[in-house]
Amino acid sequence: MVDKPSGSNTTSDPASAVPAPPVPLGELLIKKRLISHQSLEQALELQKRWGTRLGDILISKGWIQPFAFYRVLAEQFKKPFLNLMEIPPDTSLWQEEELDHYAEHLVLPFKYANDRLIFACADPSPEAIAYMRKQSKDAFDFVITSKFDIIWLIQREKNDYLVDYAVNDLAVKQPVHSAREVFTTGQLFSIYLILTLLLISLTLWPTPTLIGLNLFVGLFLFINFGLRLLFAWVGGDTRIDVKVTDEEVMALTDRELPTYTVLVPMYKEPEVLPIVTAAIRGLDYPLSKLDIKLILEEDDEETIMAAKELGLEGMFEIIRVPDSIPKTKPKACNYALQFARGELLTIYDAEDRPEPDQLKKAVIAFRKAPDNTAVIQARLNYFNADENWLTRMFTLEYSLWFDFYLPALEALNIPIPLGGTSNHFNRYVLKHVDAWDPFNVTEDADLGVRYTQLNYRVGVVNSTTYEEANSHLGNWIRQRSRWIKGYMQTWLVHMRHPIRLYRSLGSIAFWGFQFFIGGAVLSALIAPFLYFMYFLWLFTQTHALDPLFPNFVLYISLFNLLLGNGLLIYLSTLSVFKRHLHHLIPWALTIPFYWILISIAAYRALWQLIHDPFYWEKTVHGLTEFEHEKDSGHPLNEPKVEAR
Amino acid sequence: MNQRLRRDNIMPGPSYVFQTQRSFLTLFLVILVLSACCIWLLNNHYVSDIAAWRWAKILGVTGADEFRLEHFRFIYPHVPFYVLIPFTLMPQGMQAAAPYFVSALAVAVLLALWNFHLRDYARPMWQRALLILLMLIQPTVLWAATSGGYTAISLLMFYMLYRACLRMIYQEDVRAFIMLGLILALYFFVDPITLFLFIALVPFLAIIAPRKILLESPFSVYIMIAMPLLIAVFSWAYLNWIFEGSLTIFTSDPDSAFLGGWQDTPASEWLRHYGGKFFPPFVAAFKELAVFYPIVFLLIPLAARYTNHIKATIVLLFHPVIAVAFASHKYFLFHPIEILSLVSAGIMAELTVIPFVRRWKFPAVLVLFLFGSLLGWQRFSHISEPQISYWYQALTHSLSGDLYHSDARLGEWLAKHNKPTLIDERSAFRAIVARGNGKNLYLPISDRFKIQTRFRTPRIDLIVVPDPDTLLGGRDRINLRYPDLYEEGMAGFRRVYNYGGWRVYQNER
Repeated sequence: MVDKPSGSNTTSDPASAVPAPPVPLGELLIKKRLISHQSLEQALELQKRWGTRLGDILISKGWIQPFAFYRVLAEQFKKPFLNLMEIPPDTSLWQEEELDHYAEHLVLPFKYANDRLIFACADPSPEAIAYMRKQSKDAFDFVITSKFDIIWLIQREKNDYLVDYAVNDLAVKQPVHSAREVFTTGQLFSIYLILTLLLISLTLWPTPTLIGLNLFVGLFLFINFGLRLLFAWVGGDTRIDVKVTDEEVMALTDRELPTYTVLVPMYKEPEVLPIVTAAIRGLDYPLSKLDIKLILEEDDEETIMAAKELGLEGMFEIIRVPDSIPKTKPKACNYALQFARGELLTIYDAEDRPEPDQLKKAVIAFRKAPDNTAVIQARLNYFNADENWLTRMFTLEYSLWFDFYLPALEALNIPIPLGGTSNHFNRYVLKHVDAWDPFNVTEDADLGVRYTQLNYRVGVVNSTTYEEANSHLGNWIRQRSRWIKGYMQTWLVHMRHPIRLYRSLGSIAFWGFQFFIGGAVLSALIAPFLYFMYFLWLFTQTHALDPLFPNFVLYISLFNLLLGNGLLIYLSTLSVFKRHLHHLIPWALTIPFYWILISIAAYRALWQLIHDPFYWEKTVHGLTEFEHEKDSGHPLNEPKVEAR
Repeated sequence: MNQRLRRDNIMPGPSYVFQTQRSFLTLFLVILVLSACCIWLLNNHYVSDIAAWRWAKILGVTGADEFRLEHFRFIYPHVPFYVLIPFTLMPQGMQAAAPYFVSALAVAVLLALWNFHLRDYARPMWQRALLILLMLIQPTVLWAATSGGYTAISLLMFYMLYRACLRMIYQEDVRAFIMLGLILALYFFVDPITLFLFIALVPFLAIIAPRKILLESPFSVYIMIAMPLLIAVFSWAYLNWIFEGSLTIFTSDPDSAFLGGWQDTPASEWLRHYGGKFFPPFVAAFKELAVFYPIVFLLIPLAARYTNHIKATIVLLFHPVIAVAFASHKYFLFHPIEILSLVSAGIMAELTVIPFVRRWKFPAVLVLFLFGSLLGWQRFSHISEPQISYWYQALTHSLSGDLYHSDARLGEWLAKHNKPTLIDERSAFRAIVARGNGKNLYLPISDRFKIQTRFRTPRIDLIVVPDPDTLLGGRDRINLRYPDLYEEGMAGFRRVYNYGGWRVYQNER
């Protein structure tokens, strides 16, 4: 059904394109009995505080059905209302490179009529009018439609383009930064050359070669231990610990907050859908300034149905990602990014429980950060730390990583490998760097390094998102092997031109990258050899290994074995200091067993890198029997990292 | 709380690097003064046993065919050896002074660091200069700085240990735990006294550790602080197993530095009186503390207005004394000054945080410092422990002649006859130092010594053996292996040297 256009404008002046509504929208809605007086009063009250349009408030609060609202909006503007799903527009008028702007302004070229370009518009804001004017270059007019019609129609009509963009944009524009090619010819040649020389050397001079390898490993681990201590020390500095104080959050007014896009990629997780939507509703942020995208795979009917059945408020939008290869989270996010409207953008996983003030803290952190800051990483931790040994170890590891290492990396200007979620992006910069690499299975880590290479800054903020720690061993191995595979991909991508990388990062950041990204992988891979040699010697007291350990190598190896490993265990005990999870400290003594699991995952990752590099090992969520608020002892409203 | 303290300029911000020229100037001046003192002492025939022994070890280990750390043996802390190794690059004539220079350097670094921290606290320059001067004339500090022993490095470690404790009291951050834990671990490799200092510190952790963590999980506080030290001790035991053959050699070998002075109990007046006891040495040490450091008692009224200052003062007042009691109970301490001398560093750390808000307080500190120095010098003049007594006599120019003339002469003779020589550095350490290098020496730490002593008649050019009736000679390994050698000689060897209780036999083939 189409309402005929009743008014038109022959001028391109935006002001004249939007006739002043004679009747206020609120009154119209009451008159039509779509909302109550009470709702209107509350919405008007919120409007004063939030500074957004009344319609957005009503829709985000779920006080009105979007479809009904847009009809009334059309009536108010004396424009026809159009159901685009029934009356499709003339897509030949669309420009593919403008699709993301259409989604941003909720505007679509509809058709040409009477020498005028007619747009379908869901929100005739001054910005949207200005955009229409710019696009039409001539006289234009508009009809009103629903924002969902615009989003769904773009997806339906331009699917191939959107998918191609999501998959290939980075690979086409910046092939050097894409993991689509796992090993470049140069890298393959280098590997071949190194292995050949190694084999020749082993044949001609077996003992000196093995001593050389042993020395390399010893020195590498020695430096690695030293760096970890340095990171823990720097990360322990209270001055860099708290960036945004509670007072600063309190001082922030809702009016000044920008629109925030929240991406929630999910796959076959219908059971956690109510939890994640509740967590997002619980965010301390004006709902009408939230642009929430539930990113669901087209073949995941289960979750799509569950989302529909929930009857979510109008601020939630479902983005269906068409089935295509690679089937990865970054590809899904790239796809959804084209519909994002927020100035800032963040990603939450389905099982995430961000602290309520996280978005506000991110806004403040951006304001306080240098202009070239592209992303702010929030801390991640687990709500089911006490579930079993594995979750305890995971919590110790994550606490050390996010509470100590990442702030230290930021302070030392070393590329920060972003965590999988709760990274808060400047959307424009994200688009500018061609977003995530869909072929990299730790796309966030890769992006963090790419940002630094492109002279953007990556920051961290003192707000935590609580996730579900993997409590099942198989699931944990799958997840960890994906992470390590992603680190391998990231290292390989950025080391295609080491000299260029060195020049773009500088020496500290370059070596920090080598040891923090490359080192994490290498140490996991070489650990089993060291375990084997040690236990072989321990149980057999063989002297066969003696020639491989001349004095200087022996001393370094002993240092690493005793003090290096001891230091890592010690740092694990300290890791939970900031979170006051002191009861986990004795468990840190068992962390060497966890290192064995990491090595197993590392070899699995290496195997996959060669045989199935883009395969995304799905981590199953919702396995925990813990309920966050009840069991973790960290209510969402109480940040646990102490502000000093 | 911390912010308030910072605002009120009570607790300085943490900073541990020398950033100013003045700190370097302080370092340079103090090194000059202390080096002059060392030269004065050495010219007055002062020879520190521990310094000579350490340098002999260095010469033995670096002079061996192959440089191996295990030649130092894992029954002594190794850091005091490692800091000396670079001095082997110096001209040979100056090398023997290296242990004294290292002691002077350690105290100079300590005073420069103190100056830096005092400056951080905005104390005027003249006050800092005065405090440093008064600290330098403290007999315990001067003794540590010029006697060539471990104590100087120990002083530096103790200062950092107390700074870490103070940080824990005032700032309660994770860095305080890291500092305290790692300093204790490093301290273990510097001085075996650490174990007693740690045990004595354990009860005080309840005072200095953050109350919130103590209430939540007291066990975790102890793990966070003790774990690095436990790892250090375990590592040491492991190295003992690898290189010495048993995990517990360092706690059982009679020569082990970790056993302290128990072997010399008869020679120690302190151990004869207080060895194996706890409360009597506690009381005696408290009296000694009062004599050397009356200023400690002034810290109580100075700190009275502030809970944290009181905590710090209580620790300083009782911790070293309890450590003395523990160490005496285990027959470790030869003399309480070995631990009480460290109180100087504790006071230095304390003065970086205690405010002098009233005018009378700074002069009072100076007067008590001076008074403590006078009493300390008086006390030093009566200490019977030979090494301290020799040092005091050398300083006051009253040491009668060269006590170790015979060792020096043996060393010079051996230097002239530089041939493969079987010798035990534990008895002949002064002679080895006088010889000037460790080349061609077959010392008990080396495999070649063990090989030679397996033979009934060693296949070597020279054998050096001391009089077995002396204390050191009785422990000499060559004497133990060849008991009649000193008196009767050995078939195939003839005596080529005999002076001052030393004999050298030369292979006739």
